[in-house]
Amino acid sequence: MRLHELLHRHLDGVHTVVDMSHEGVELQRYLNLSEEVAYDYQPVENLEKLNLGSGVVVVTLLGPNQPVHADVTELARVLQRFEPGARALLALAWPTRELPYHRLLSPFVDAGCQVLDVAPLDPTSLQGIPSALVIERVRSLQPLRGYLVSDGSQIPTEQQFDELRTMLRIVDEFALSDFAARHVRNRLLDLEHAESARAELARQVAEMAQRAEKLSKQVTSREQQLYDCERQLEALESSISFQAGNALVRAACHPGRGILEFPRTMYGLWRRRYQSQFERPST
Amino acid sequence: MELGLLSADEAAAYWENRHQAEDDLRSGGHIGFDHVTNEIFYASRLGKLLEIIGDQTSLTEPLFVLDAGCGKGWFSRAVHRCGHRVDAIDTSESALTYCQEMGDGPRYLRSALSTWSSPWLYDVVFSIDVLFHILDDTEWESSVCNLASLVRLGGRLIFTDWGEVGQRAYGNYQVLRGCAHYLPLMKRCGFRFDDWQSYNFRMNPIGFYIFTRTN
Repeated sequence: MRLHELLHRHLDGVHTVVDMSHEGVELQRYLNLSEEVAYDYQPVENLEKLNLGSGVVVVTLLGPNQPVHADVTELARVLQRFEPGARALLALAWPTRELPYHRLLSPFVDAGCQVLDVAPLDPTSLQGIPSALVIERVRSLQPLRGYLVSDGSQIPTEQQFDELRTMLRIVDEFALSDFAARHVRNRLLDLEHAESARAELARQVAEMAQRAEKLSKQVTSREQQLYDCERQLEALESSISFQAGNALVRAACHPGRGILEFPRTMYGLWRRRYQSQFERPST
Repeated sequence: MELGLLSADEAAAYWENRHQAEDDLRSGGHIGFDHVTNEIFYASRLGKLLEIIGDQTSLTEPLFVLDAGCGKGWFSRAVHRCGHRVDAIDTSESALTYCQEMGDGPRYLRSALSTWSSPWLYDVVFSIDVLFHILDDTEWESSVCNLASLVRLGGRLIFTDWGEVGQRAYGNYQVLRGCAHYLPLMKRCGFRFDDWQSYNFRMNPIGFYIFTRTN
């Protein structure tokens, strides 16, 4: 629903829309008012001078960010000036999940106001204002409108409206749906708890996977180093200098057999070196 | 020779067989029309149904809707695509199996109209071309009353049946009931009668009964 669609459902008998939103908030262009309905911008400082009775709709933006948004205390002051028949269109800047509706209930009741309509607003038309509601100062209970009902004919006429039966229905439906909702709310909290535990677990798994990847890279690097060392050692061990030194050490340690083997080993090394000088490079 | 009406078990078997034998439209639609005519018939009724439900929707704070007697779920899926949360009930196992295979959002559950229970109330309960297939008057009344009990204050109940006053049986598996049956019963259930809107489809006598809970 768009803001003007919600407003226009409640413009019957209305001659003036009083915009009391704070400076910098430009709601007028979202109201799509016809020429029959006057638009009047009034800062809240002028509240005492205003006549807020039947035929008037006050428009304002409530929310958590003052001074851009009006707060609930200011709203309560405005509502106290309402005479029977006065209405208000309250654009709500809180995300619906965080809507502090519990703070709105007492100001509404204190000022004799009934919520006529509450609806989510289309995010593509008005960003940052997820919902809005319409209230009216009433002398007696007004017929209720169904949720997201767009057709004006859905509102019961006075003849069709049985206040006591409707009141009983409201109270009974509230009591029983509140009771039944406890199980659902409890389950929702369990699921949210499980969801956050699962998210924490997923975070830990991701962290461990990251560590494992880092360790894997380190192992690969170490393996490369080890491979290089082994190649170097192999080259060293196959060098003539190493083998000559080795033969010399063996001869020193085992004079009997070592002395006999030493000249043969040295000859073998000389031969290998001599041959390698004349070896053609392979093609 | 005049045929007697089917018993409850025979009617259940009839629908089970029909859902198994016929395609997704003819099984729950008009058996006298071919597939493409049923295509128009479904689209036409959906358009009217959406006009009654209304043109407002919200993905984050949706309407909660019950499709009572969903058959193969054509209306359930279409209404779900409009952003509403749909519970869809039916007694036919094969129809529900088809629905589960199609998926696409609604919650499908096996239940009769007279026994469905929910922890929350619905903004809209609709039942399209189902009530005149409930042949037993007692079961019909308890179905209507149970569906009515599931509608929240300000919510709407939408049935289809003919717009005449009295009652008439067609064949052995249809009993049409008119406003003399629906209006007093719904008033007792706390509903206001808003309108009866004809299908306006060929010579079909059926239309939408629209009620709003006021108390």
